[in-house]
This record gives sequence, C-alpha cells and structure tokens, in this order.
Amino acid sequence: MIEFESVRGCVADVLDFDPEAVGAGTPLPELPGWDSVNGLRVLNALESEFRVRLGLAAFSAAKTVGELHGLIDEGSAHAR
Amino acid sequence: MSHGEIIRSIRRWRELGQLAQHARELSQALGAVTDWQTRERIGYALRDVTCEALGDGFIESRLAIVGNCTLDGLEHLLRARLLEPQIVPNFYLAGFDQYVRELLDPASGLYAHRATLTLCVLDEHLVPEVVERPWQLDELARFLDEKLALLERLVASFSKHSTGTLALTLPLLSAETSASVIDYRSKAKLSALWRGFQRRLLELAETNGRVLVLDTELLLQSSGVALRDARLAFHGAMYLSQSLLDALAAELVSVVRALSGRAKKCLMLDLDDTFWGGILGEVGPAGLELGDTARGKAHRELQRIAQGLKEQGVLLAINSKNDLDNVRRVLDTHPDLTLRSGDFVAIEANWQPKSENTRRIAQQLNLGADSLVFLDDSDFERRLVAETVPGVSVPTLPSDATLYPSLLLQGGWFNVLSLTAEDRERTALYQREARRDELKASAGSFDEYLSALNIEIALVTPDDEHRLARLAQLGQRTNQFNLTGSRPQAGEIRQMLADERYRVLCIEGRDRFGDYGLVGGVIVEKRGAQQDDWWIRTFLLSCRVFERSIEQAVLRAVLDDAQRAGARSVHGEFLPTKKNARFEVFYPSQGFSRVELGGATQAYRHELGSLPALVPWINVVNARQEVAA
Repeated sequence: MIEFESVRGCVADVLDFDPEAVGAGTPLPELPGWDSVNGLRVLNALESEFRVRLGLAAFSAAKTVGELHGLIDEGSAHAR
Repeated sequence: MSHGEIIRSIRRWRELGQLAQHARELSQALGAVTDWQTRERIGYALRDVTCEALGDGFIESRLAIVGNCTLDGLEHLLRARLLEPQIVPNFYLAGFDQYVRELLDPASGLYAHRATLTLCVLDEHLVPEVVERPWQLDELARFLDEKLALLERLVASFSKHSTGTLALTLPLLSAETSASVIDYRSKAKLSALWRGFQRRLLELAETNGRVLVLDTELLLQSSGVALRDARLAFHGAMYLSQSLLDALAAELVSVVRALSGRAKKCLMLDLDDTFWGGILGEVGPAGLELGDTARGKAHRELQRIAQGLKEQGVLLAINSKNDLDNVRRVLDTHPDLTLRSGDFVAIEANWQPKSENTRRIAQQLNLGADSLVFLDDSDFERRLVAETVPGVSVPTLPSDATLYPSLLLQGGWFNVLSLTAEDRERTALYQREARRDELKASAGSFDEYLSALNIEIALVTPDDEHRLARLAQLGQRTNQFNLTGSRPQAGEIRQMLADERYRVLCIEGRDRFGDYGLVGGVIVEKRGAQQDDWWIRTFLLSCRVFERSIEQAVLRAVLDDAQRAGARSVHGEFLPTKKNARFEVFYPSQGFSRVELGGATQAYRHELGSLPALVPWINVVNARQEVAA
C-alpha cells in the first residue's frame, strides 16, 4: 500500500510546490509548471521512487493527482 | 539529511531569501547527492537563482546548450553540479534540433548570449540515414561525409562569430541501430564507418583550438549510465538518457571550472594509509605496503597517478602526522617509491593540526585554499580540514584503498583545456621559489634581497601560438592579481592582436635562479579618434611572482610607452572580485586618481605629467626595444 501523501510529496518535489496546496482531486494541468516536459519528469521520478513501470499510455490517461496515486499503488501491488 | 529533506530545505531557504546564509550547507548538500534524480530536482528548484541571491564567492558563467535532440534536464543537472564549486550558470537554451541554424547565423540568439562555453550535444540521429536505413551501407559513407563537412562549417562559423569555447559531444551508434542490420559483415562495416566519422570529429579538436570534443563513449562506463531510455526516445526525441546527461554534466563541470579559473592546482596528500599502506611510525619503512598485495598495488597506482598529475603541471604537497626526518628519509631512499621529496613543492610532516598545515601550504604556494584538493583516509582529518579551511575540496574516501585511484581521477579536479610548456615545468618553478626564499632569509633586508635577485622583465607581443595559448590559460588561472576579473580567451586575444587599437603584451621574466616563464599580461585599448586615451582592460600577474613589484615595473613601462606615443592619459580599471581585494589600492598607489563612472568597475586615470619612480631592482625590456635590438 503506497500512501497518497508520499506520491503527492514526490510530485511536489519534482514540480517544486508545497504539497499541502493540492489534494487528490486537483487536476494535473493545474499543478504549478505542469507541461509535457514536466510531465515526463514526474513520470521518471515516480517510477524510480516507487520502483514501478507505469507505461506512457496509462500515465497520460491519469487526470488528477489521486488517479496518479491509484496507478502507482496498483503497479506496485503487481510488482509485489 | 535525506534527499527529500535537502530539496525541502533548499526550497525553504529560497522562499525566505536565505540562500546566501546557507551557501556552505548548500554546497555540502550538493556534494553529498549521489543520484541524478535528486540532483535534477535541486537544479530545477534553483532554476531562477542568481549570484546576488547566493552571495559572496559565487561567480556567474555564461553557458549555451544546442543540439540535435531534446536535452530537457541537462540544464538542471548542470546547474546543481556547478553550484557545488560556487558557479552559477546563466544559460542560453536553443530550441530542439536548432544547432545548425544557431551556429551558422551570426545574428542567432546563441551568439547574442556571448557564452564562455557553448555545448553542442549530438547523437546518432544527426545522420538520419544511419538510423533509418543502416543496412544500405553503400550510401552511408556519402551521408557521413556530408555531415562532417557541415560540422566543419559550423565549427568555422563558431570560430568567426563567438569568442568562447565550443564543446561537441561525440555522437554514439546505438545498439538498436546495429541490431537492425542482420548480417555480421555489414554490422562490422557499419561500426567501422561510424568509428571513422567519430575519429574525424575528434580530430576537429586537434586542428581548431577553440573546439573540444568530449568522448561520450567513456561516460557509459560509469555505473548506472545508459545511452537511452527507449520510451522517452519515442516521446519528444529524448535520445539521450538522463543518466548519460548527468554524467556529461559532471564532465562539463571540469570544463567550466577550467574556463572560470576554478580548476584545482595542488594535490595535498596524507601519507599513512593514503599515499602508502600502513602507518610509518608503527611499521617502519620496511613494513609499508607498496607492492605485492592488492592494497599495496592500489597505493602504488595512486602514486603513479600523482606523478602523472605532477608531470602535467599539478603541484603535489604532503600534509601528514609524522616526523619530518622519517618522512624525508623514506621518500628519498625507499626502493618501492617512485615519487621523491623533490617531486613535492611543500612537505608538512609534523604533529600540528592538518588544518594549520593546509593554511601554511596554501600560503607558501601563494594559492587560495580553493586551489587545493586534500586526500586523506581519515574521516576526522577530512572533516577538520573541510570545516576549518573553507574552499579546500575534500573528497570522501571509502575504506577500501583500491578505490582511491579511480576516486582521485573521476573528480576531474585538475582538468585544463590544454597544457602549455610552463605546466610541465611548474614543480621546478615552485622549487626555484623555495631557493629564493632561502636567499630572502639570508639577505640583510627585503630590498637587498630583491636587488640580489637581478630581475629582468620583458614585455613581449604574443605573436606565436605558444604565447597566445599560455596568455589565455593564465587568464583562466589567475584570480588574485586580475584587476578586472577578465579572462580573455585565445580567440579574443587573436582578434585584438589584429586590431591596431589594441596593444597586447605578455609579461615574461627571469632572475638569477632561472626563468619565470610567461607570468602575466597587459591588454591596452587605445581609445578616441587620435587613439591617445589608453585604457588598461586586462592586467594579470601570476601569484608565483608576487612581492617583487613586478606589477609596478610593468605599469611604469606602459605609462612610459603611452607618454612616448603622445597619449593624453592612461586609464586603469579595477573590478572587485572575491580574490583581488588586496590590489584595490594598486592604481591609486601609482599616482592614478579616481574617475567616477558609476557601475561596479572603479576607473582611475593617470595624466602622464610625472611618471611613478622606476623600480630600482627590475630591468624592463620592452618588446619594441627588443625588436630594435
């Protein structure tokens, strides 16, 4: 089980914002600095931090921080 | 501190405007980061940081990045790595695959940025035919030739339109491209064609002094470095992995350090269990490990590397807790040692704190502490020196001595753009200095000592490649007597030599103990319609020859020259930097008066009414007189 807070914290570290400022329902395009380049940075970071492979298609389909968390939790359950 | 904590601390310092207060912690934290992910995030968090925000000691370096593939991330990785040695990059980032246009167009944003270092990152996609149809070998040779011709044009254009240095990365053939050819003869042919292309690219650096070619292939030997992440290659043409870009950033730090006068100059070694295996005081000379065992071989290898560094101009010093007599005896007589006491410019073997020894060595060599790298197996000694003598680089040594040699080399601490004859002689030059010190001690007064030296200074136009290269190198190395912080590169000097408004002079010297070599330079711009208002734009003097009033003698010669040429006045400038403060009073002390121009640069004027007194113990030979003779 991977906590929502740790996924949010990782995204916040990469995009350089205060994690408290966003919730599970925050749409990804509303994250500070979110664009295609930063999206890839986030993907890279999440994969190496949580040791999962997300796949570009699944990653691109995620719309909110909460959905990202769901993807990672699922991926890491598979990995276990 | 965990990596997450480092990033959050940095963010907090930034938000509170306290980066300057925490500059040292920042440097240390950056030095402790081992993964590129954290490094990239720190670089990103500091993407808007300026020298002003970081405070004293930081310098700006203008850099440009162009290439044929997407290089997102390189900027942040490089920033995080450069901030550790207190260099703040000011980047120009070209658009994707814009390298040809940027390098060919004199009006490009690249040239407008006036970068000290321009990095051109290339991968195999620069020759699309090779990636798309590698099995059609007959055609590839032609495409490679055409590409090479284009790159030669780009380099020529760069030489014309930029005064900086261009670093090209060697493009690598990917395993995927080779694998898409199925017959082994053709695979070999493809590899041969590509290697030929690479070889000719590498040769560009031999024929053009402004170009460096970085061998990317070698970077793949670091652990965890891959050429490419296949998924990202499909996504936005990111053909080079972040791990490779990070390894490239590490290499570039050495290049930028060399270009910014921050390359290290002296390797300071501990002896027991660092330079040799074992503790001399306990095992005696015969008990030292210097061969047979794996550990002994590692120490031998470290010595061989130190010797190699010395032969390339790096100064070696010893900082050890030992009895000096014992150390000298071992250094001079031990059959398994290849370095002797004469190979070291300073030996501090005693029972005083190593921090004090470090200060003494820096002082004796007239170097800033930040020119030193200290190698010691003891965590205690490393901390002591790192914490009490700011600036010294102190790499963390693992407990396994067999890792010392690679660890010493991988920092690229001492790398320079190119070596000159002076570099190979440097240890001898410093040792002559020690003999001068002996004369100083025996002379009745300082003036007597200076008179006894019989100093002769020649001011020579650098109209040969050797002098030109050495003068440019001196600009990169000189921090203390560098009155305007200026570091003219070879290309700029060549342009000024061809321009009658400039007078470029090298300062060369010798005394009864031998040649100083080329130890300084003066660049004068003759302003005004009559070219009778002289401005000294660059004034450099090596710290090796301080305390002899050579700078006064040279300035006197320039003033004399100006007077003879009918000039109205000579202006001198002083731009305060971290290291040149002691020469702030130089121009006023020579009869110059302050002119208010505003800005950070202080300007001084001499009206040439009466010249300052000659320096009685120096005989100055001017270039013109030399030509006449």
